[in-house]
Amino acid sequence: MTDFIFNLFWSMVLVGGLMTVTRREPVHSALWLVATLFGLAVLYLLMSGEFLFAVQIFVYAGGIMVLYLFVIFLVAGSKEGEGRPEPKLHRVLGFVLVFLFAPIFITLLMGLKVASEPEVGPPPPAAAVAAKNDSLPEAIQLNPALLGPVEASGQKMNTLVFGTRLFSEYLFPFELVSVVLLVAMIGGIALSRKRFTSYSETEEAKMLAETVYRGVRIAPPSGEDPEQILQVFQQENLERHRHPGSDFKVFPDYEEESNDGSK
Amino acid sequence: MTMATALVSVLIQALLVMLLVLLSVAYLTYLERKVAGFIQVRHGPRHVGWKGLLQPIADGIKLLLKENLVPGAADRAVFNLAPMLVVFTAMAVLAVIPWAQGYTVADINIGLLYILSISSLGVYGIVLGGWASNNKYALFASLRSAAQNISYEIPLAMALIGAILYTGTLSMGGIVDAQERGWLVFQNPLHWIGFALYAVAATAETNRLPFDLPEAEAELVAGFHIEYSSMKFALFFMGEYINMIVVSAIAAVVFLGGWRSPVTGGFAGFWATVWTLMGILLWSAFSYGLLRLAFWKKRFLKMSLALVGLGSLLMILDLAGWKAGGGFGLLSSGFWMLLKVFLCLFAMMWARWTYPRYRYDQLMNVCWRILLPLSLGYIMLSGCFRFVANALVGG
Repeated sequence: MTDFIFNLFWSMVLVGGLMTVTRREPVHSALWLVATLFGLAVLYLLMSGEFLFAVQIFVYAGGIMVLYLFVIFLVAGSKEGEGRPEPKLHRVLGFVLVFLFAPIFITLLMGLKVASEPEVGPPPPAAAVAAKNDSLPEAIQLNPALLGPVEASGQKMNTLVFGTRLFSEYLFPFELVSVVLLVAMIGGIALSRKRFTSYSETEEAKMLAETVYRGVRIAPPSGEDPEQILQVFQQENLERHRHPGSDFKVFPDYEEESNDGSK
Repeated sequence: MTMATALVSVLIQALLVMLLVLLSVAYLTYLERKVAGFIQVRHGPRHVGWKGLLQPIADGIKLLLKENLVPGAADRAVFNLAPMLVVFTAMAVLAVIPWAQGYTVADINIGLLYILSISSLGVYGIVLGGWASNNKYALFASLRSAAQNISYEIPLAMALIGAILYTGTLSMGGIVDAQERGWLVFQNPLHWIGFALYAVAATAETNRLPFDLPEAEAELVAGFHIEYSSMKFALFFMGEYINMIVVSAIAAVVFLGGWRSPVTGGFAGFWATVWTLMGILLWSAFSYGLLRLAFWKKRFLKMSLALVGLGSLLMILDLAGWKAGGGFGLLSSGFWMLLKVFLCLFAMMWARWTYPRYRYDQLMNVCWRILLPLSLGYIMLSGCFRFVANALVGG
């Protein structure tokens, strides 16, 4: 059963990845990428990483990919088939790179597997948590009374072990990573922010202020007729300050049409 | 139990929960219209069947018989996928909710995280449905929905994190167990903030008024489901109502003690006594309000009397130490859980027919400038309380 699920989902990851890079429609690509990420999450689950499973879906599939879609909707207006034709050189280069890097990756992965084998084992039992508690300061120890029901039902405490180690042994790298993310975020905001001078500092505003202060109109900059500009200005002002309901009719042409008799 | 029998048993349980939830979804639409009628001083549906009770069935048949239209320029595959995604993600979450003591399809140890992660996928249904329709209003709705869901997921998760710090586990069953001495909202007034944050964020996550910007009828006509007809249209609604049930159930389990009665702690110890008295006070206030309304309106007098009577009886039995077989029994635990879920659902409907819709910039301001700082503060305070409690109790 587990083998069947495992096979199902790693094929889902592979197919999803292939479809992601081959689809022309960006939204379809993004969707297949979501499928890939979901498949990966299930693979984590099969390796008893329930916490990683949930976080993978919550953060990547449910958060980041939705933002991807958001950006695609905003920038990519083209429908299928209208996409930019890719130069042949890119395809050739892509294949060459894949065949160059594939052996390196496979070797690396095999190396990783060999290196990580001694650490793979069942998650630490309750005794291990108790031992862990001994090494922690009293105030941040885990409360065994609250852990009771989880232990009693024999469930693995993946989340608990993960959290404890992350916030004790690996606290410094964790904070370092979060600082890196924070820097990236601040950088993004700083880059995207428009540098604008406030309206009160512009020449136009200064001129307007002067006009209001002295009660005189400044001559228009180009060779336009001042009288015409004044007329336009007055007309605009008139429309702006007219009472909104003064000549408002709910059915303006109703009476004329009904008396006409032609319709 | 062998693998096969376990599988069959789980399948039967899952089917049962699904059927019951689908039935209650049908009658939630009826309830919604009745509540709307009550609030707007009119009757609501009353022609099909006794007191209009067959109206949801008639609606269902009508929707099934409607023509299934797909716009010519739509992206057919994605267009068909979207409503399925909405219902699938909403349904998948039902598996971990404890409906009564011991009645959960699968009480996994990452229950709450599972709910958060799977329901975060639900937004794809709305976003893709709007995009695939190839309609400008629907696309606007998609954009709004994507931004809104991502924004409100954060305070939602943060409010739940603050609560988890207190319960110490992510399993839904474990969270109810951790409230053995009293509901979370009784244990510390701090959790009222958490509950309020959760309520606002959950309303926004389910796209209910006053946060239903993705389907704002006044501006976007019907938003993301403008091009949908027939059963696909109904699927969007089913998804929305299942999601309402899910967020209400989470609120009940995490903040309101799940299937526990208000007096669950008894009088063992000082704080348990205080929490029990608060529970009695709450139930009395609720009963008083309900009966005042019922005697005033007379329309649901019998129903209200039965509800208050049964609740009071179960509470007295609970106080007297009646725990059949070391548990609360299906009747008592199921009654309290379903009553809490129902009250949360009613509150959501009440809000929908009372408040006007937010403007889009207001929506974002509420999330990023009010809810997010509040939820961060809630987590910090909750952590501080946990720290002090741990230090006092001694680990």
